[in-house]
Amino acid sequence: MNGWMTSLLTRLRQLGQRSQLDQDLEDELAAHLALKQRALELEGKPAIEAAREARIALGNATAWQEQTREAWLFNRLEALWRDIRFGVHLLAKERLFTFVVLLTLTLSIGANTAVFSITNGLLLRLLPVKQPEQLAKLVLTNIPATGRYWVNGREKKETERDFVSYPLYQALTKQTGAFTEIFGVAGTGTVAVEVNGSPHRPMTARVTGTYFPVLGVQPQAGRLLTSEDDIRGGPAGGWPVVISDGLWARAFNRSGTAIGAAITVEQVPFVVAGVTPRAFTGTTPGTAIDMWMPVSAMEALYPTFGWRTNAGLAFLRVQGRLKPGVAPELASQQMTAMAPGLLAEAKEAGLSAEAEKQFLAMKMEVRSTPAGDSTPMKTYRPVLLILLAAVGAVLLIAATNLTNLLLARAASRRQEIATRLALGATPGRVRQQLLVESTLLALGGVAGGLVLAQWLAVAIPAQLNLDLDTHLDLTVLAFVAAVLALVVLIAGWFPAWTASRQHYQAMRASTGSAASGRFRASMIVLQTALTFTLLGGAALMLKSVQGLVHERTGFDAQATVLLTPDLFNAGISRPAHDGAYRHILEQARQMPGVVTAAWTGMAPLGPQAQLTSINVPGHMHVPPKDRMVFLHSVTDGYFETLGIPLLAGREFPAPSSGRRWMCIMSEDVARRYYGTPNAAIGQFIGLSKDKDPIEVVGVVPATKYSHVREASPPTVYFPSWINGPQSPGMTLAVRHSGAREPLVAALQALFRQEAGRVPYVKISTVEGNVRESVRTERLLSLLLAGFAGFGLLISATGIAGLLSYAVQQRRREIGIRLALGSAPEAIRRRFQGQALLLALAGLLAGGALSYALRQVMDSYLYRVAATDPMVWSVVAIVLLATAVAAASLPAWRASRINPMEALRPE
Amino acid sequence: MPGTLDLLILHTLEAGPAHGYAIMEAIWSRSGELFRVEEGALYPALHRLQVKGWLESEWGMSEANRKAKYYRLTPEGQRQLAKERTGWAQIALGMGRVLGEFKS
Repeated sequence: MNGWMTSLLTRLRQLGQRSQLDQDLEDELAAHLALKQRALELEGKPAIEAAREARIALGNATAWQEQTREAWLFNRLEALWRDIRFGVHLLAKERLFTFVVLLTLTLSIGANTAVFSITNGLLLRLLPVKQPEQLAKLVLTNIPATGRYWVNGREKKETERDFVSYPLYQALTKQTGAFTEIFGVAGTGTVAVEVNGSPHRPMTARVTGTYFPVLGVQPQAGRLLTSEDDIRGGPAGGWPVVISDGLWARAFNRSGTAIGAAITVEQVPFVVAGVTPRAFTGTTPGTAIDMWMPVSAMEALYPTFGWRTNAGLAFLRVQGRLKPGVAPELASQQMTAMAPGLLAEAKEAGLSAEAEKQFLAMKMEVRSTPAGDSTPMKTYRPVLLILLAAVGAVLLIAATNLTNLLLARAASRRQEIATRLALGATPGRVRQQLLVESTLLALGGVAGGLVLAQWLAVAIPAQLNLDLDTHLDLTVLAFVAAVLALVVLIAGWFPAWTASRQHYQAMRASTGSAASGRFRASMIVLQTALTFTLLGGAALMLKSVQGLVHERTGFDAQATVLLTPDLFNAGISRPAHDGAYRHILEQARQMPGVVTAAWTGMAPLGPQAQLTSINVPGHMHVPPKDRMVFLHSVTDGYFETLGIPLLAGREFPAPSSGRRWMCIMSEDVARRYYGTPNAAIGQFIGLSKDKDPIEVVGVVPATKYSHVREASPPTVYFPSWINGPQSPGMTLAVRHSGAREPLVAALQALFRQEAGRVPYVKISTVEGNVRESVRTERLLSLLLAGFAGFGLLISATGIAGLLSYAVQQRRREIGIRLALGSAPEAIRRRFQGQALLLALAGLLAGGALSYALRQVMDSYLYRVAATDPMVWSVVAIVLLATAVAAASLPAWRASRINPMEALRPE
Repeated sequence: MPGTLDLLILHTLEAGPAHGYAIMEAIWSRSGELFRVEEGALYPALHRLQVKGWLESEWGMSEANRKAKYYRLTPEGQRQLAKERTGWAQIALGMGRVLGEFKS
């Protein structure tokens, strides 16, 4: 056993008793001196002389006091060591008990630690920057409802906006209000980088020049970005980037030559300026940043993106340091009051009068962000809260199960304990023995739990596509300690307490304590209640995942593969894309195994979306936001390739037939404005005042646009070639007749042939994208099902254990009943009825709990209500059946008791 | 000799509970002022015997109306005393015989 633990425990105990022991020795010494002095005085010695002599005789009192103290301390140490050895011996002997306890602890501590580690990594851990507690972000709230807003395919009211435009950011840098200094982070994403001829795709953040200075991060090599880097045209030495420790290792093998190295990012030359410290991976938890570039570099990367002057393009997250002592609430008031001044500052951005009014109506809120600010934090906070609640329930189930196990064990050890008490062991010693055993089990459970947690804390974020650091830091360790303390308290204290009290009852007849029986029963009711809620949650999620996966998407695309090649970084210039796309399409259509093929601007059910308001003659009184449609830009052959039937009209013609404005619309758009699909054909819609009217040439049924949850998104398709030359990023959809793998390989060869180099290709399918979009739901269903299964198992063993104990306790009574003519069947039913009663009580409590929590999972459910009677009935039946099944063995044993044996005196 | 002091203490306490000073005096006077037990040996021994469970202690009032710690034999201490006495008698007998043989 661990030496340090032994001495730690002893010393902890000693702390309380040491001073008492010292005082005792002190008093004893004083008494001795007084007695001796008195005796010497009686012999006739003067008082002073007597006192002196008595003290001399005492010798080196400190030394022997110390000896005495050690004798006691050693005694306790030895007793503890004996307890530990005895405990290990006992636990090794009772293998099943030990196994069940360790398993229970491992699962509960593992699940709790894992979920907490993830919560800590995503939401709690302070950023490794200078004084993170001063950091705060700016959020626009009170958003006027002028647009439409979707979250995971669900239309919502936009309540807040995390992004501001560059002109507004510029105004903010001049009037920082409650902030001392601010910085901005434009969206993060992967870019193609080439280092010495080898490709990398690092996650990149575009940051304002103030980012690193405000955060106070120091480089581990080279220098970091400053405001001099974030200027029009870039600094004299060329556009700089800062790389992470990870990218430095991957791309440069941590070589010092990285500093000043020339690299290309999306075909634009950049220079590596420096490397961030290992611990720093950006301010966006969930998305670890590998490369930082100045916002201004976007003018080189995306020449057509008018971000610098367009006040309508909100793309910067604004964060900064609050002035010391300014609370976020006060800061919010200050910022909102500044709005008119900011607007005047940003005036040249040319906002419309309407937009100005809207801006002035918004509130500028300041929120503390010591742990950073990112979309994953916002997206997964509710998921983590659900999981924390679930693992909390698992912990309660586990702890109460341990209580019951230990109680049952204490009951079966009454004989042993009574003997020990009779042989002179104090109740305190017995209590210590039992606590030592609990501690041993707890340590074993923690060890197992940490191993499980390490695995889960990696597997869960991977499932959610989260890039998280979930290592065990002090916060997590403190959490584990707290969890453990809770379990030991719940599980160890009550049994220890009752066991040590049993010497009062030990000699009484072998009836069990009624109080402990009731206590165990109530624990089982609690377990069943929590299990019921977990089971229900799991069932609802499973049903939702089934619903989502099998939802009709509007595509018939089992035999269609989607390939998005990065031709630009493989050597095809922007203007050359149009020709390359056409050439590839022609070639692909000739390939064996290809049925049809088409290019599309956006992969179906992919992450991007494009929305616009259409002008429909006769419907111009409808506000623009209600005339919004999703846009798709596709080539001829798209509908056939994705298996979308035409309801009316025709497909887009091949580009050779001339460029003419036309569109195809989804059925609901056609029905809304023209009544029937056929009536829409030949009608004209407008996109903006200065563009020609666009003829409707076809109508197709609704298809999901970017998420399965969408309820038939209104969509308008345009032939991609009417917009002139194509820009990079299109997706090739190919319907095939043969095997997929050889075809994909052939298409990749085709891309390489066209570009001259191997391009990065993202390969997906419609089904794959559907699965991708239900990741969260799938994870929740898996974890909840796991937790519920654990709860069910524990409840079942709990019921079986309690009844076995009751049967054992009531052997005589049952024997008498049987002797007096009770049918064994009746005895059996009595016990099963008892189990059913316990389960029913748990079910009622669990039902109330679930009803109270019915809204928690609402945003993750699909086509099933949180109160779905079918789901809950099935769950209730499963639970009750499990209880009856768990009771059947002890009940059967009861019915098989031999009256003669049962009534024989012990 | 190791164990001798323990035996002396246990024997002294057989007559009834006593505090440390009284034990010291009793051994001094009963040994015909031959054995003088030092405080530095007596008190650690008293506590050691307590740790072993042979003695119990309790605060009480001494003859001078002072608080003093009284030591008492436990049942286990009684058994130990009997055992040590037999052991000592054996040793004394053995020693006597051996030394006697050499003498004669």
